[in-house]
Amino acid sequence: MRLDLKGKARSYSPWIFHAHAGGCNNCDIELAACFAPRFDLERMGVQLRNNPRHADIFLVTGPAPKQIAPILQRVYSQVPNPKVTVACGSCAITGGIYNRDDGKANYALGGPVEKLIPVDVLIPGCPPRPESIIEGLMLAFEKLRKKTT
Amino acid sequence: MKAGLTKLTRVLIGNVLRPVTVDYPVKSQQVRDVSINQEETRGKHSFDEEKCVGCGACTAVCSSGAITESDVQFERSLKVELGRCIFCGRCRDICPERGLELTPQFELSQTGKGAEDSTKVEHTVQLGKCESCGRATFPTKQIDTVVKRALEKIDLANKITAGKDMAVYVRYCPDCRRSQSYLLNIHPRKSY
Amino acid sequence: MAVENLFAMTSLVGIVLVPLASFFLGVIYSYEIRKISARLQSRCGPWLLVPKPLRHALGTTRIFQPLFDILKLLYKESLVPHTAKTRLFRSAPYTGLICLVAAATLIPFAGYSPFASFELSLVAILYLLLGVPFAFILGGAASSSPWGALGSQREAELMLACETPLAIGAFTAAVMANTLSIQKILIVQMSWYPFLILNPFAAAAFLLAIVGKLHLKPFDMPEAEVEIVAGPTTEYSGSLLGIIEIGKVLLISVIVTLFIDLFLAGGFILGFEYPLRILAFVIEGIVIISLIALIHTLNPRFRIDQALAWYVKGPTILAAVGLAWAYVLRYLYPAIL
Repeated sequence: MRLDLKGKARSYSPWIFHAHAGGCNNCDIELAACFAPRFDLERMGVQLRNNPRHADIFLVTGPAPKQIAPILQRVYSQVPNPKVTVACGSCAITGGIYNRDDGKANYALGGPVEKLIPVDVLIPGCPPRPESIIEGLMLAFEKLRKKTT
Repeated sequence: MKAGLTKLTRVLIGNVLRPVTVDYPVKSQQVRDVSINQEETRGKHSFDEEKCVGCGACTAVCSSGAITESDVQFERSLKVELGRCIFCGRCRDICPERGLELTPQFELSQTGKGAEDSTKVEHTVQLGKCESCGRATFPTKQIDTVVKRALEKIDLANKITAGKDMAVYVRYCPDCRRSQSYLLNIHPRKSY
Repeated sequence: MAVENLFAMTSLVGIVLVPLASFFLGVIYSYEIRKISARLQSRCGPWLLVPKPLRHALGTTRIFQPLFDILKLLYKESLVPHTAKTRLFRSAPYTGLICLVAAATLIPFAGYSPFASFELSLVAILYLLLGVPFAFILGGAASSSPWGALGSQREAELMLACETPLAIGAFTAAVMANTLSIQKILIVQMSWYPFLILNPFAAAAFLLAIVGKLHLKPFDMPEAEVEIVAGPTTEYSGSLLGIIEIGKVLLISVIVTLFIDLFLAGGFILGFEYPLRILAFVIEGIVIISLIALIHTLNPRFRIDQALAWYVKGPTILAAVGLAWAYVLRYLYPAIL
């Protein structure tokens, strides 16, 4: 059984950068609740950093309006490899409630996040409960462990 | 002041020795009972096979267009795209048959949309066939439920004739009902 | 000839093993700071023992969490901004690390040091420990980012503030033992009392200076997270950031070991001999770290001018009182020295 120190270290110490792409802030509040004493993500070694250059997991919330779309792509390129993108909340996955009923796009949306950057893990919910976010992040840790770059 | 200090020390030591953290990723029953409220949590949809009649009220009232209906041949399928759902519960509130409920299952994360896209919930109902033109009409279950409910509410004097008329016109689509209403003797101006 | 070769070989082995042991102890101390901070906030903190259902995914214990952080950073790619002064940017973290490794070999670690006979080890150590803030200042200035420049300014001012009580406290211990070699300070304490009991003023000043040197609250304003994004380490990523983190972990261990050697007789409390002495050394380190972690958790972040004013009004005056008390002691007990 190989030791796999590289994969283990990457999945045991994931640092998250939270990119707020213009939403209603509910998903951000639930993410903040994940770091509060009741659901403590630091147990798993997760740290919430505010600098994309220090991060492994790029967590996006919000439906990415047109003004923030180029900025989101620019910040994404500042995260060093290997990185995992997590789209948190229904706005980040498909635009959520900001879509029109007939399926056409809202005039202000720059697209759901997967049109701008490649997305690895999706966490549905509006907002997703902290438990949902923790479960989605554990999928992201597994993805980090398997990255080969 | 001494009472306050002792209480503070006891609270601090209590917090240090027994933190309030819920052991969440451990999915034991004890953790579930502490962490989620089973009656009020809104999670993944589940269509009741017997009660849902396929009327499509949920698709009309959905806040974000997550529930869609599509008719193919003689089958109507209702699909919930959980990536667009905002879990407001309007679909559950408006369902006339209480056939749609939001279960407390909120662990819906997945890695990437693809073959293993687990964020779709589907339910299909059979559509009835019009006897004269052959097109699809309404879901069969919806027709049965509507007939039953209407007959319960009609007063006794008109119940039998209404029952006889209904037995005829539920077999036709609305266009054929209108165009053949004299032939079938179901037009509203006939005298009883 | 053979004996001298053997001696040279043990020195060589010591030069490699002592910094490794220091690093390992620093990992434990760093974990302890995180765990105590978390427990005081009624959270769980990095797991000491992971619950059974999660062990296949999350490991058995997270006591080496700082080590996993460092390993992960060393395996990541390093992005260097194109406007940065590349050679200075890339070499600043290594400068800090080399100074720290050299300091780690000079400090007696549970009483053993490969350079025990060096007569001026206290001066050399205080000089080498200045390499770390220097590395921060140079790295922050070379990163050509406004956050780096702000962090460098604050680091320079904090260095000014906290080096004074540190140096005065250390030289007070040297004055009481009448020597500049740490090994001899240890020997004097073993035959007298530990200097913590004889001169608590200098010990308190040194301890308060440690909080500033380690960038723990209330003095973490050089790397103020979120306020100036990350200070001097803003543009660092990947393996360069990993070297900075190794430096931070090693600094905790080196400076706590220095405190224990200068003021607590390096673990020689109650006359313990060798195996128990190492245990006493580690336990003393854990107690000191828990005190520092308590200060770190219960305090907000000072502004840099508040930090300078506080250091001048508090620890520097306390250290001066300690130095005067050391001369009083030398007058009262000339026979010991």
